[in-house]
Amino acid sequence: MNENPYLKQSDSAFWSRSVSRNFSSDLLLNKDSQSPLFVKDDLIVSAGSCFASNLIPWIEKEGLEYVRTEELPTQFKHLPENLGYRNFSAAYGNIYTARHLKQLYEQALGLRVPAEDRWHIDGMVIDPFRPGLAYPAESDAEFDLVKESHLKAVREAFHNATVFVFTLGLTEAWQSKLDGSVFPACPGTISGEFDDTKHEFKNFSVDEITEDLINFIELLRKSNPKVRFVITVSPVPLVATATKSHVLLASTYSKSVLRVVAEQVSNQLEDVSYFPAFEIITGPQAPYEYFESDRRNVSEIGVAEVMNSLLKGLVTSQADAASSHTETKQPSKSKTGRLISEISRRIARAECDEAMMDKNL
Amino acid sequence: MISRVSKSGKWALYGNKEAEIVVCGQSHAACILEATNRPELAIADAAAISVCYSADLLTAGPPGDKEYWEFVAKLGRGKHIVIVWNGNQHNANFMFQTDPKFTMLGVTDNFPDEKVIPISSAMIKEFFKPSFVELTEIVASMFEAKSVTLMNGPAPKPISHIQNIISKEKYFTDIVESLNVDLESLVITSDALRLELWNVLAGLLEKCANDLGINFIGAPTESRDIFGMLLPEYRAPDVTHANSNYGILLIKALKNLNGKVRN
Repeated sequence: MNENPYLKQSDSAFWSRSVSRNFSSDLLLNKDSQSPLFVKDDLIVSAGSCFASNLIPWIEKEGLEYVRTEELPTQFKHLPENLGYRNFSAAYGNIYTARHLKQLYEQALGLRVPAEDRWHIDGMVIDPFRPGLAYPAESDAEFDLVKESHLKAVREAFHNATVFVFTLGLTEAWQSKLDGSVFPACPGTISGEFDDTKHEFKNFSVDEITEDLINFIELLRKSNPKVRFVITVSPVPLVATATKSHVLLASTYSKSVLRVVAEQVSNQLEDVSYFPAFEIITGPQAPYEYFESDRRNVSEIGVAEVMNSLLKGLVTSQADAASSHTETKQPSKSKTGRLISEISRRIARAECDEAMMDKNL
Repeated sequence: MISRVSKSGKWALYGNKEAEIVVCGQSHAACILEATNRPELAIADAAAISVCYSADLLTAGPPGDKEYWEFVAKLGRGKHIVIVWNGNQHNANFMFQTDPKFTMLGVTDNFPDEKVIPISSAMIKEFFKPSFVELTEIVASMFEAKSVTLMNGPAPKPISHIQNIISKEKYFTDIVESLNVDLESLVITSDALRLELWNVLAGLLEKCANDLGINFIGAPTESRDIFGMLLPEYRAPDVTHANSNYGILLIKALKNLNGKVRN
């Protein structure tokens, strides 16, 4: 046989040897990467779509530190909240687009003041960027107080992170015609009123999202130069599209774009890793059961598989690699089971701003 | 002077059984009971007021005690019922500074760089909301009364008063014990924050009274200092309650309400 580049490739380069047979999701992790996903003393911050919040209970139960800078005092923790705002490091809720993430951080740094920064509705002052907050401000002064504190919490979380996990969720968004501020949900769905003179649909391209994500990473690294990034793409399809396409086509386009962005950014920048949650759940090798019967929501088994892989990503991290393979930290099966169980409960409870676009849900 | 007792003997009506006003409710009603025994109170004023309280004078009419509220409803037929309702949650739930520390709009005693989480009024109201569900049911059960009036408790007392006596109050020492810490290690919540919490509570009580179509009596202005805290001359020697001087102010407020009551 003549020499050719494929002869030097490992089994994982061949579908027949690594997907048709012997598939293991942990083989998807980039073993050559010098950047570990997590190490023991990491301070982890996450943002992104609903799927991004799934890893939080796992991180915390594993003994890793999930940064929380906007926690409520104990007395208020039992009060019901909407849409999982407080699931994240600061109470920003789901961030579906890289543009939204970048603009949030710019607001936190005082570099950006959205033209449409509040909505006055029924005597309450609503934050268009957290429109589902269960207890909105009752006055502009209270709004300013709460918002300033929130942005401070965002700044503190982002600047203290040693690892920033971002799950790219959507390419489709609604933005202000006045200044391009991106809303997490179409005005009028969760709160506010849709006004076509002020609001417009935007379907971001690969180039736009890549630029937004790189700009965000570079901006954050000005204040937090050592922060590493783990980028994932949410495997959850769109709940609805505002394009003229069928939602399945729109979803495929959206996820394809996001997957390209993740690849480009992780290849282009140092200390940016891609974690293949998307492939684990949606690849042809994935069992039917990884999605619920609606073929949109990821099942408990699917979530468990993703988290198992992430768990293995942890134990093969740089810190562990320094010690012998036999001594690497392996969580007990029972502990892992508990983690997965908790994560599964979380996802079952997960609520999504995005889901508010479909009134049938 | 006890003029009636409830079925089990746990609750009693103090004062003239023919009095046209029946004061009931939680422990802040005690200051009115004490005031009715003050010699300087006009005999007619004292005779016009009876107070439904515990027979042992130790337990006020707690939420959830069906017998108490049935007793009040029966005593209050054709009379003016005054319900002293809660007004103490700012103390009961927030006497000690929380972790993380929180603040509210209007509270100005935080240091500029201090880590504090602002809590919206809407969230505070949601926290206080459960106690109003029972109140609504109680007011509905007073349908045979001539009128129903809702009365708030006194304004909070300053830390300077509280810190010397808090170690003597079982409610708070029990909290300290449950936290497995020393009392000295806990910081009493600032006057400004407790006052703002109390203001929210007072607003909720007034709104509840309006929604239910009943009267409302808040803390008399003359009982409060320039900051809004309870003045020394109206403080009982404990953490939360007012004294009989304050009770006299409330009786005056009740007299002023006479003729303006809503059924």
